[in-house]
Amino acid sequence: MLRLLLLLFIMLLPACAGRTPVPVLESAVPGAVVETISATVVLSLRTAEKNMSARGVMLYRRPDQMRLVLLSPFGTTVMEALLHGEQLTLAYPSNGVAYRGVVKELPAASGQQGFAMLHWVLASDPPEGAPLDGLVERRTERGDLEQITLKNGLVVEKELPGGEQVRYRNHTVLSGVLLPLELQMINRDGDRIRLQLEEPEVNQPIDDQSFTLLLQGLRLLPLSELKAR
Amino acid sequence: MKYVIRGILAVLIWGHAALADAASLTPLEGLDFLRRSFQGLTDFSAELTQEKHLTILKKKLVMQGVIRFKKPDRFLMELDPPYSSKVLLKDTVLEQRLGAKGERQRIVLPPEQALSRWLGTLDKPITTVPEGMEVRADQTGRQTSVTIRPAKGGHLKELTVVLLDDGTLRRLVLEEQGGDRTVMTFRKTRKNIGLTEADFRLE
Repeated sequence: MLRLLLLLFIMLLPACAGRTPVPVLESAVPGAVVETISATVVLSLRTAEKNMSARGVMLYRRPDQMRLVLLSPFGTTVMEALLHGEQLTLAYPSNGVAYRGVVKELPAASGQQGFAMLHWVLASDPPEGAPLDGLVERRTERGDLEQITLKNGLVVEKELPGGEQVRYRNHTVLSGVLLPLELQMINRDGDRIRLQLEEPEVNQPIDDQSFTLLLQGLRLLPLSELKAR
Repeated sequence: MKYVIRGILAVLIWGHAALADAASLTPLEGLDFLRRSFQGLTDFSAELTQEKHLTILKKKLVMQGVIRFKKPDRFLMELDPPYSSKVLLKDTVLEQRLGAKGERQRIVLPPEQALSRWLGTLDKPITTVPEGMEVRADQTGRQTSVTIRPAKGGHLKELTVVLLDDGTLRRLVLEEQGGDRTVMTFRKTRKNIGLTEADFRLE
């Protein structure tokens, strides 16, 4: 009996060895792209002056809409951001104030320069015809020459001549779409921003209302007047 | 940061109101009763479920954890995975760690925002309801709810506290102007249990 079990074990061993886990990334549908994301997030910011992090919710809709709500430990809203094209609105309900303007008006010392990188960061599809592994260069929508690092067909890092960097980590496949669950950004001032997606939903419909920021009761100021908090 | 302090105060003040058997209270009686009930407290702990209803999110976020408080100036809130976080306030020093691998962050609050200073204001008798504030209290069965509407213009639209008839905090509801809502439900509340400094660590 023991010999029979041993024989069975030996016979089964190669079969088991042949069943190596299929990499989850192989379940991605070729050509499928992110149209929308809805996720809870943890956002961490480290600058020379401060180190902060907060949990919140992020919505994204291709090509250029993003809404971010950051929450206090008690669940109340600390900050809201709405990015639509180049238009950025930042609202601080507890201070009764909001700021609006084009992204390039963000003051350098506002601590919010990460928003200026966001369009570039969210464009994480590999260039057409790019190799599976290696470095390629591509011209961005704003005309900068970006350097892209690919690994196993995934964009894992991008860099701009000005020193901005983004690293894409913890890729997964949701609804057939490849999605990095962690984005690590470094802006030209050396500020480090980390965005982690939790329980994301991909390519589910998001209504227009979700990309509308209610500023009722808030004093609206130009984005150029934003100060560090 | 003001939200953190206000949230802590809301939990502390209303968390331990020993409710009398009055069916209804005037606004002033309600506020003053809450203040007096807090004076007999040295520490407490409770299990917490925090539900966040965001207008932009179809599903609600449900977080579980514990809170602890010790007079005069210690407060801790720890939430479990998948939304793990830990917040520790030692008077003017706020420390926080978000996520399992999150870095510790430390913020020193200005003296006027010190927890001990805020709690010190509770020693003073309440003689008037603050201007613009609306307060109402309702009793249903074993539960009493106190709803406070702050003066107009603030981001917080309404705060509701639900207590059992033995004064145990049952629920805290924060409603914001934009329609977002946070419901905190407390269980297994234990008062004056001799919490020590070891119960207030961020590790």
